Amino acid sequence: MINVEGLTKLYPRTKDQTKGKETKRVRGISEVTFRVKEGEAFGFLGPNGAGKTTLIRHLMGFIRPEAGFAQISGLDCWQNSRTVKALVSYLPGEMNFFEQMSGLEFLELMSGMHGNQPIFQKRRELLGERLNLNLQQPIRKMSKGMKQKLGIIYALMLDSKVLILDEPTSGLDPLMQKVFIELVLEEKKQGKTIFISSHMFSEVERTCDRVAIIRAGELVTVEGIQRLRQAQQRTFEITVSDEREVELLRERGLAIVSAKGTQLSVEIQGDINALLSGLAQVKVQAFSQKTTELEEAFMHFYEREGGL
Amino acid sequence: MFKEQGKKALTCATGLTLYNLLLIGVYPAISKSEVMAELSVNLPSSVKRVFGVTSGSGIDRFESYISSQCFGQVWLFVMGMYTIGTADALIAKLVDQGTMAYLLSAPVGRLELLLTQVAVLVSGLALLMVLTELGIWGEMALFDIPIDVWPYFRLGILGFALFLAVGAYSLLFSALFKLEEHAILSSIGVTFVFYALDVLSGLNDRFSWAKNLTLFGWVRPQEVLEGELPTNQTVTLLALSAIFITIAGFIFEKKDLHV
Repeated sequence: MINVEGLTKLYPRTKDQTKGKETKRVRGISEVTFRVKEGEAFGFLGPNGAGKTTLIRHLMGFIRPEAGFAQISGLDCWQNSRTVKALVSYLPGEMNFFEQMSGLEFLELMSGMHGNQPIFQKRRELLGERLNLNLQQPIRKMSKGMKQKLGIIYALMLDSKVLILDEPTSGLDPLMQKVFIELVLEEKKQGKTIFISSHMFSEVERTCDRVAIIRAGELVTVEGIQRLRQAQQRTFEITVSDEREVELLRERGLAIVSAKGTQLSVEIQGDINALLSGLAQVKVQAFSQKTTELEEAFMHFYEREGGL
Repeated sequence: MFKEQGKKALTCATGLTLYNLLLIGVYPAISKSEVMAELSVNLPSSVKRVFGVTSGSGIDRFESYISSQCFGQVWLFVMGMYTIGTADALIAKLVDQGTMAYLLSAPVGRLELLLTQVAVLVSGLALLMVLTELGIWGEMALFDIPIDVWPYFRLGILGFALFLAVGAYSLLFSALFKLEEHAILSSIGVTFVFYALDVLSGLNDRFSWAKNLTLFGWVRPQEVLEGELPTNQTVTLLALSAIFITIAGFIFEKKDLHV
């Protein structure tokens, strides 16, 4: 359904702050190639500034590629952008609406621009209820989370074959993130093709079948979600009741990266059962997962492809 | 968009009308004042020119008074700011803020989108001109000043064509530049240069050539109010507007939009 081949767009980096000269470093994307099958949910993962939004701009026909092409349903995203956009729902990464409108007015404007089908209104009402958003409220009075909900309603109400979502859960509270995941899974069940870009693995983990990892404009890997889950490196911060228990855990072969008194950090790659069975032997007083950066969690992928 | 710009046009028109009410209201007193009559005759022609009086007479004639006051600097300033602000809000601001991403995500061509924005600009300007003119007519009736309506109507059309041209090149800048600030600065800069050239052309006969280099040089409110037909100027300004809009369309259609 989505076919990206050798897609390249490079920008000279804006002026170097220290020297005031233009440097040779570039940003953008370079020879990105991947395919998303019809009915597949595909994650596009990368740290901020890796080129995710540049790729999405190509898919939406906002910018013209320097080399290569992006196609949706066999149509070139730049040359046939109008036809392509009739197939696609897009949730931009930045929620900048017409501030003076109400949520409802905005959705009505966009419905009109998409050909005003009766299903839009039906879906709009259902989604408004599920996401618990008052559409009568003026957009300028909405919080970041509310605007995100409005964006999601816009993208999902159109009932398009392809969904392109740029960091869809940013600003949503955990409860609404759960609702969003349910909504995406429902769309997937209906056979829609879903493309989610994110800088957090957790955002794509529960919905996507495969994930591409992009770094500094280059595609590092495209993997099935199971393999990535196995490959993900996680660090847990644990407090036990006495120091002997720390030794006990060490003897069980857990990778304890640091230990200070009764507090320890354990690094796990993939399966956490070894950790859990180890912890069953001791008295745990506190347990939390340390948030890790994307590059840290998938360091070995980056290293395999030429190092950090 | 129409609603928002309509509100803005209405606000500007109300401001202009109230200002004109004040000006027209004091006219009977001024026209009877001997001091004012003497002053207006004795003023150097270049000073009169700067204030919009272009033909020989002083400000004791109603037409010259109206053209220098109601269609003078304040009118030019308000209309100019409205036009430049609207042209910016219709494209550059939407691109800069990212709101354009939503409009562009719909299956609508970029040209169609641009033409919709042009329609907003045209209707806003037309509304502003119509309301200002109606205001002036109403106020003249209120103060019992007899006028010939048609020259005012013709001046309205010419004024509309002038600011449509200003709006059209502002829209062109709005489509051309990546940053909103650059679009606004260019529009203001060019408009200011045109205005300065117009003032310069009136200061001295040696500079009268400058009149041909500026859009404002083609609009002489007093002469139109005194009965001159501004057909050529109006048609030229409308044609220029069409050219600017066509170029804007061409640029907007091909351009990379980082939204």
